[in-house]
Amino acid sequence: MFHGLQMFGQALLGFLNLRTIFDVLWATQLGIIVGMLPGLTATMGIALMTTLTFRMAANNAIIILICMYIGAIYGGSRSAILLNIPGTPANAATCVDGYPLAKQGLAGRAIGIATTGSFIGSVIGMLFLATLTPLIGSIALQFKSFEFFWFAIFGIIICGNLTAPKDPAKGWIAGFIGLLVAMIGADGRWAYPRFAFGSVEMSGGIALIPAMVGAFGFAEIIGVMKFPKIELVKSKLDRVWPRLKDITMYWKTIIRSGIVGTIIGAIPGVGEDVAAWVSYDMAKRSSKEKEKFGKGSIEGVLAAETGNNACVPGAIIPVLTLAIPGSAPAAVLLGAMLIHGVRPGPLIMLEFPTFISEVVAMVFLATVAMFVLGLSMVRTLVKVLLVPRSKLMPIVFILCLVGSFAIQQRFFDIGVMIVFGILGYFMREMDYPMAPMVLGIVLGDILDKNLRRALVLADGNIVDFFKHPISLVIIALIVLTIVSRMAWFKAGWAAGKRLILSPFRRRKTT
Amino acid sequence: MKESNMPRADFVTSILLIVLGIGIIWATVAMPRFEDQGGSFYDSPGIVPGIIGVLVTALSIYLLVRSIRRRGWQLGLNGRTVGAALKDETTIRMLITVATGVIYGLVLLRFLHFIASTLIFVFAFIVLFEYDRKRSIASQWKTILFAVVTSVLTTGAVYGTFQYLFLVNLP
Repeated sequence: MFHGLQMFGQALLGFLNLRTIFDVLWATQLGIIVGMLPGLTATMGIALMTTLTFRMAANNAIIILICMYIGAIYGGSRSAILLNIPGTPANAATCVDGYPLAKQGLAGRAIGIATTGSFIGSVIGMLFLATLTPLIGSIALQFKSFEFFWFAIFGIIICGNLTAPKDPAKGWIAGFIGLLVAMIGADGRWAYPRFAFGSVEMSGGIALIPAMVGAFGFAEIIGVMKFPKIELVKSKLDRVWPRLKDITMYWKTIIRSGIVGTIIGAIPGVGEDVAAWVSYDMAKRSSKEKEKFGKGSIEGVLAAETGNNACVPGAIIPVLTLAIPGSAPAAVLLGAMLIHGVRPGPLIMLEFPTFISEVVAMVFLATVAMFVLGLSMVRTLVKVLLVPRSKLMPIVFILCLVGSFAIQQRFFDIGVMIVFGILGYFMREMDYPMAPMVLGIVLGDILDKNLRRALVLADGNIVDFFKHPISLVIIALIVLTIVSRMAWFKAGWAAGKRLILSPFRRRKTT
Repeated sequence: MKESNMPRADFVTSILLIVLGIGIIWATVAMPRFEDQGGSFYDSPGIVPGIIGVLVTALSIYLLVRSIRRRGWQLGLNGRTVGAALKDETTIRMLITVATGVIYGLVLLRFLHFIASTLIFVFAFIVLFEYDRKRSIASQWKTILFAVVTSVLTTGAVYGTFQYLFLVNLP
């Protein structure tokens, strides 16, 4: 414990220099602006920033990316409150109560509440990041090929389940398509070019960054440009600083949302949007002011924003310990870490012993910067939302294009970006979530190597896949995730619950 | 997309996905197994994509059956519905965005210098979305001027930043 605190202190001291503080401030501010603008998501911001920082030293680049991540997830609340359009998908739940508050002339108060919720959420997530990462890392050291295979499958299944709540089959298909995309190119064992169709560029595989810039950038541009003008709500921005009473009154909601957000963040691929919705839903169910939800509830804004920002450090936990991203932006962060020579995964504690505390310190600095910047320059920054989309989006598209081209400087990546943009747009239209597909692209290599290795070790004996205790736990979770969506299970669960609770209910009424 | 149109969309996409899945399985079966070089069958390059192909096909068949049950096979495609969809403002705006992106990224940049192609793209994008066909060109000189200024400034800023600050050799 004290050793951990000492390492965190040392890492923080190492970052307290003018250059780093300057980087933290501009990257967080840029993140807030990126998040604010509908059409620019956190994923896209981090992907673009990866291309701009890949010549920097690893720590300088990663702190900028983390600041962009935290800033963007928070920044999206501004457009959610003022435009009723979430700046990033993570802020969709904020619209429900943020916009009604703005219409009541309380936009400033809503922004202040969103900023405070985001700050506290990030701090709660950071505490979990600092304490749980070494613990999960030590468990991950026991993972062998069988466990990695099952964990990759679990990631796809649960991510598909949670990101496509109406139709999990579409989430799973999206995940498997992502895995197939990852199979394109030379395989790791025999260097056989799979699905390359004779193309040298395809043999090199589909790079994650251009695919993600397309799926989250170009697809978003198409989606935003599709609709005519958007109107900024006419509301006073009087008092942005939050009242202490607003925070202390809802302390239970804040802590619950922070914990829920972090846990959802740690689940592979699920991400901030689900964290915000689940936190919001839980707050609504347990609130004493249920009637205010949807009509301008401070508690609703607080729950959604605490949940989505707590998810950010949560999503970094599996990145560091298992090299599996907890969200789409975290997938890009993982890619950036690999570009900079950091190899996240079970061996991180041995290969890069100080890196976890450095990441915690980075999250801390970004969170403080987000809070300070979030409560200042509000009126000035809101003017950015007035820039017409027809003038802004071509600039965004150029950045997507140059960002895809910059890393390897090949035209093929521009093509990949455009294809994934169009594919991503149509997938969204058809209710196929993007997050499982991205997770699939990241997990493809892990699944391929570990499944083949496990099959060779077991000499094709499938029973060996079910022998290991950790595997059995993961398999149980997979089965539970799948059957929990089936009608017979839901009916059985409800009947069982009624049966167990009925004696207590009867006693209560008598 | 409207919820009522989803069974029809699912019907079409599930057929496409089944074709994709079967194509993947067929391609993986045709892949070499390297057993003659001492490799194991379980380590052959096609084994994992083959399994994923089977899973995609199975899930797509489920989607297809479900869409048929919901009468998704009644596509209702005729000249009138296609015409109405193509005349819809959101469809036109979507197609313009895709077309400008594709022409800029895959055509202009291949044949022209980055500066020239970016100038054309930004100018065209702004004019296409802001130009009002019902009004005369003369009355919209501000839009044209703004498009020219924005395209010059954007191109200059992006080129300068990437070429000289980040040392990226732009196409």
